[in-house]
Amino acid sequence: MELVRGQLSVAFLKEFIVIGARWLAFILADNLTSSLLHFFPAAVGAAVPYKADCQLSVFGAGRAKESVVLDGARLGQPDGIRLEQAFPFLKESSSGIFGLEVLIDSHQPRTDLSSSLCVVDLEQKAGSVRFWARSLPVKPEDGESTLGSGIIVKDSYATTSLICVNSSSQSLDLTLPIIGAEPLALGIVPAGQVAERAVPEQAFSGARVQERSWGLARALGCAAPKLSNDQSAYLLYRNAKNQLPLSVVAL
Amino acid sequence: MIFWNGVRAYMSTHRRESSSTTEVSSRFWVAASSFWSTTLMVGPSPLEGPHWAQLTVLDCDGAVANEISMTFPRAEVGMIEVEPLMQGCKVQSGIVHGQALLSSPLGSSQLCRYITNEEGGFSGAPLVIDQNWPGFLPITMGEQRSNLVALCNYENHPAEIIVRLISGKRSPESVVVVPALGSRLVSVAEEFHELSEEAGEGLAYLRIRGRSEGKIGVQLIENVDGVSARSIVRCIS
Repeated sequence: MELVRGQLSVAFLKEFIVIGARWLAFILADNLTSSLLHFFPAAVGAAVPYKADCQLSVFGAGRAKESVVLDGARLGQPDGIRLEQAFPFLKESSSGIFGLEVLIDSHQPRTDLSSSLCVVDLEQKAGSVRFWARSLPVKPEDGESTLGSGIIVKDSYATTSLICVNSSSQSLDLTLPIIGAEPLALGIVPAGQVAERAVPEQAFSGARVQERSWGLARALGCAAPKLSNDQSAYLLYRNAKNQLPLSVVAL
Repeated sequence: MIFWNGVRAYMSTHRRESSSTTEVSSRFWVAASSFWSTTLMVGPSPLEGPHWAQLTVLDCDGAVANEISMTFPRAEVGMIEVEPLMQGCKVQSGIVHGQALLSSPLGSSQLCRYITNEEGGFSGAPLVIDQNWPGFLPITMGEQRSNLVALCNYENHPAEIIVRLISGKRSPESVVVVPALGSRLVSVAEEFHELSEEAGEGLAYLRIRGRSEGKIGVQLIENVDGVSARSIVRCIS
């Protein structure tokens, strides 16, 4: 290939660049829950099932980050793994919430993997809680920090917690902005750790009780906490009766 | 501006419906039955301005069943129960279902709540796929599970959708036709009867892509039969 000075960078990038995909999520490992990861390496326009690299990292609950690389992943072919197989210490965990970082990459030039998908599966006897993991720039320093928004609910069916996954090397002073009310200070999340913070009862004191066909409900709108590209946040809805996870929504 | 970026990032995370510079628009699969009801929730925007929502409910064949506009008190989460808006909608696969087009101000959040006799789970808008962007759904096969896939056609022309079940070394496929702006509910056990019986219990995957042009919304609904004749319904959220 002939390279022309001045056009080198663009031409080179178009020819060889590989855009990977990265997600930052959480998993549960306790007596009632085991976690699975489902992933779908996909590239627009790639009909051939080229090899894809899938790297998983688990951290939190006082443990340093541990990583494994899965062999055999292919573009266009969904696959999954029970995380206890990749990280045996999860079997021994009686009560733990861990961070999970997933990175999918390919050695195939001119491949854009940004259309890949990733589902976390919190498997329980009574049924699975599955959610789409939050995608982030492949390199934490790339792109700007972004904010989403969500809905916090408290009624006879559900309570809400905020899960913060902090994969960065800085501790995070976690504050949840409530729309139309004072922000909630939810404490410090240390570097490389994951924290679940239940939304306290007093946060709903300003929320009107709404009468619905299923009963009385209170809800608040919130914005995502301010996060870096090495951090993510989720709303975890728990069953109000038994406190088991019900649904998870990425912020 | 930061919220515009946030909305865009959120939508791209989930490959859901995108937003304009003034509003957030999503489509949700909605259903109503004796054991299932749907409520759409609209969280307020932190940006200045009124808190409103516009909703169009389409039945499974794409006909407009209802259109409403609502305003909510500032900073309050709006809740719209969809069942009363689905009166007169057609039944398909034994259930009244369709899609709801929901718009609300930029920066607002939208969430779908499914209430059953046992639980009240949550879900975002369906995963959006097309010809070039296929999607996948993990499913658990087993006697106590039934998996339904809701396919919503976002276009004004019929959509042909290729659904492939991947279980072990076998991967049969089926083509589902969804009318313009319509939706179809596909039972995995019925659509892939032979393989479902052979596979027994375990994990499998559905790989779904459009054969025709246009966007399609995909949502998995898993029903788990439990003890004491109780059952729970879960979606990927």
